[in-house]
Amino acid sequence: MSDSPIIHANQLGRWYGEVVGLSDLEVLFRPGITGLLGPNGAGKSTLMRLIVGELKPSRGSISVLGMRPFANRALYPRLGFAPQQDALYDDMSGVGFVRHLLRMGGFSSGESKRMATTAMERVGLADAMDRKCGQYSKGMRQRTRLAQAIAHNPDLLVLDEPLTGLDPVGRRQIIDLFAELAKDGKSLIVSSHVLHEVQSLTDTIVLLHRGRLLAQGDVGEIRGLLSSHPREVRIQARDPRRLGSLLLSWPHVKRVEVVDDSKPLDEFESTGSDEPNRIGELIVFTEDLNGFYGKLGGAVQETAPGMLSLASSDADLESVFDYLTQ
Amino acid sequence: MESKTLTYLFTRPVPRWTLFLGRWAASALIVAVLLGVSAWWIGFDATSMAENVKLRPRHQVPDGFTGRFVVASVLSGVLYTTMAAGLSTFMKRAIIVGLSYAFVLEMVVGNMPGSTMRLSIQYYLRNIILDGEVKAFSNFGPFSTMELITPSEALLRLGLVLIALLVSGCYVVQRRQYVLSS
Repeated sequence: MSDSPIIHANQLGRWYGEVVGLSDLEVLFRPGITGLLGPNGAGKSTLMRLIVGELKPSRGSISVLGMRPFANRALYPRLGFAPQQDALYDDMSGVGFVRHLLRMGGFSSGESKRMATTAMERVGLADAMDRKCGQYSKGMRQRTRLAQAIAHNPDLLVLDEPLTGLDPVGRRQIIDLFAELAKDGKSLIVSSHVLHEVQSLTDTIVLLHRGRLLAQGDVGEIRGLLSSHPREVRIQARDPRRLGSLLLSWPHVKRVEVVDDSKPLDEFESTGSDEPNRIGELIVFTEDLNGFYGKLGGAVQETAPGMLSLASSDADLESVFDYLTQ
Repeated sequence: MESKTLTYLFTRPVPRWTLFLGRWAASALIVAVLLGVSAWWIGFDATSMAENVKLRPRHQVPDGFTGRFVVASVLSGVLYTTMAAGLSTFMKRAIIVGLSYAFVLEMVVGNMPGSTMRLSIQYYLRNIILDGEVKAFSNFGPFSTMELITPSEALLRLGLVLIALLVSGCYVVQRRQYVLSS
């Protein structure tokens, strides 16, 4: 799969009267799955509507699969869009709705019937596809919106909050479907508030805040660039104070906090009678995580209590999101 | 806006203006059939009654009245539907504005003496119905004083209005962005 950008926003701005939806956005989307994140009002839906050509930029430009998207008929066969709003033709059956939209895409009656059925099966609505949309639950309606987006086998899927309204099992199924689509060479742009689910899908994110680009790229790389927030490493160790005072002397370490050193050892595995009978946890704040890890092994040897567990606690998407939007 | 389903239509590989024309054709057809049948019924009834009752000549229903009445009624329905469709391409309360136009502005302008009434659609519809037989309708104030044009001229002008409205609607739909208020 080529790694050349599929979407290029160049100084993209979009405002609604005096309200700024997006401002000076310079962003590239590459093939694969990209999580589009941001708090409410960040401009995620505006960007998606610009990508699918429902809106025109107020300023700058946007190119999708090499084309200007607004009302561009050449683009739409290659694009699938699941909007956020819960709107379907309630008097039609789910499969009928998808089929109707396929017919509008130029597919024959037979083709559209077959493709609509396949799409409904892929989103897990095989049993309910002949029921009217008006009788569907919120989750089923969400799945139907996804079905119409994937039914014509587009290269690029733009999915606005596609996990909303789904139960945990449904979310898992849909996430698996996304992974399957990506494996088939499709590109997906997925906006969501459910950060851990986005992280389970992809490490590539575009983070918007108040209509501006806050960060873009791999979650781990973005975290590494946040120099004003030293990395946190949580260590459970016997004699955490002793370990902490040793670590403080290292150049990589900015600060050490002993969180709790009062837990009795019998909660954990006991290894010898001459070791301290209390264990605890400390948080180490370091600006050089790799250097810190490299040196840590030796330190554990130096401190008799040793180390029971080690975890980098703020490298996940949630933490990155919090740091960036604070 | 379209129960928020417009997104699905606008992200399909069909020209936007065809969506407008399709919607317009469907609604205009329904209105035309309903009005055509109603007008024919009224015209047929009026003619039958006139034949059964001995009326003075000036109260006779003119020849060909039913046909002309059906044409004028169908045209009025199609034109006002087109106007409402055109308005709805760029305003949210198109139905209210359309009805206000039809029942307020048309009533006022269409009944003004002299040539002002030419600015209304009603004027041309009346000309189609009258077909030069203004005497038969002399009891109706506005009819008796109006300056007549031929039905074909009235049809031509209404046709031009209809085309202008449709082209405007297609143009607006093709170019305009529709933003959901949510």
